[in-house]
Amino acid sequence: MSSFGRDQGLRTVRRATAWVAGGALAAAGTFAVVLGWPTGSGASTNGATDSTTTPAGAATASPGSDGAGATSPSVTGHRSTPSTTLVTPRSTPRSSRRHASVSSGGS
Amino acid sequence: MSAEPAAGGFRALGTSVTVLADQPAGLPFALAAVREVVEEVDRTCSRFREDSELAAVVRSAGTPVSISPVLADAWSAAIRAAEATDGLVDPTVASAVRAWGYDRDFAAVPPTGPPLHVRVKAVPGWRTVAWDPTTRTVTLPRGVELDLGATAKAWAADRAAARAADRAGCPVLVSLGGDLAIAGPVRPGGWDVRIVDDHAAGPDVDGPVVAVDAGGVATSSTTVRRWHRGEVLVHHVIDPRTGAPAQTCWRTVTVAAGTCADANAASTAAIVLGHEAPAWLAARRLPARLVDVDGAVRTVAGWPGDDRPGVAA
Repeated sequence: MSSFGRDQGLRTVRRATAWVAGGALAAAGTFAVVLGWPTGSGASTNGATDSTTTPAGAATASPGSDGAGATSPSVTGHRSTPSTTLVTPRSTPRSSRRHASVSSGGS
Repeated sequence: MSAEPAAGGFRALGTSVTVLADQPAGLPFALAAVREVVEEVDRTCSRFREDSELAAVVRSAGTPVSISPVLADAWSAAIRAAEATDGLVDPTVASAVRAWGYDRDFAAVPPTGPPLHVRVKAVPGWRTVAWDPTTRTVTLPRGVELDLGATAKAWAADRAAARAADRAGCPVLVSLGGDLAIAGPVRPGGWDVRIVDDHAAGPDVDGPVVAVDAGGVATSSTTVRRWHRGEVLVHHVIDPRTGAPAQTCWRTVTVAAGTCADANAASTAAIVLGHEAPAWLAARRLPARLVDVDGAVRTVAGWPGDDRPGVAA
């Protein structure tokens, strides 16, 4: 399949995100970020400004306590079953040479 | 060889819905059942509809809210995905998704726009939301918004397939935007599914075909729902640890699991995990096909290679 344009675009995302991770602020007016890049399971925010988005998150977060991992606060009554696992299929998909009436792909 | 299934479909939830029934006589019943489920999910779970129950819950942040059985099931599916992926799939990404420009039905999101100014930070996290399943009461912290988009479509596919197979009285496959759920007795030969980057790809686009007997198959991709802001290309798979589009080596990940919801949770988590994804999937014995940004294919946990001879037709 022809994917040159798509791949080129994805490389742009990768470059841009890596650049964000490096802490650079936008040059040439691309965009500016304030970094709270996580290390391990937690995350930190540096408290700098220039944020015009995620006001909700900013209102509820505090440095070092807003990670998606172990630093999340406990909540009374919250069901927590850390052993939850994804269910494996009853059988493994197998190759087919037949025509397929349906496709699985991104949407 | 199995006969071709009867097929029908319509558009909903911002994507295409396809219904396959093993018996042609069952197709109208299956289609009607899927429409019912999709409409109730849209009424309940849409973050783009002001009149949805989810929107009402978000407006009531800070206050305990008793929710409907449908939303409770959708929320439980979201929690399950979050738990099973250690938070790699998280329903509190709504603010982050919106911040990056996905703030309306995707068809209405401008493909280009001015540069963004975004605070990159972890999302609040699903554990900040109080949930009592016995009373179906949910309490959002003030300022926290929910987006069930990462899980609700696949969960809805499972729900729709079960109802459709029951009504149609035959094996049924339901695809909601490329997330596939199978229900009913095992169909001889299984269901043939083409794997592609974009589920709406035309017949001229090549893709391997696999036969699937049961459960679900889901594909997550960074190639379909994406847009430019300034010179930056943004996609919709948010890494909850950063609140930013996942920095990933994969453009498309397809997973088979016991349910479509679980397949979708795994495929989304794999996109977020990047290089760690193959080992993560293999450890969970989830067959998967991963395509990197350069087009190289990797398969794990028994997913057949693209060039492997197929089964007898």
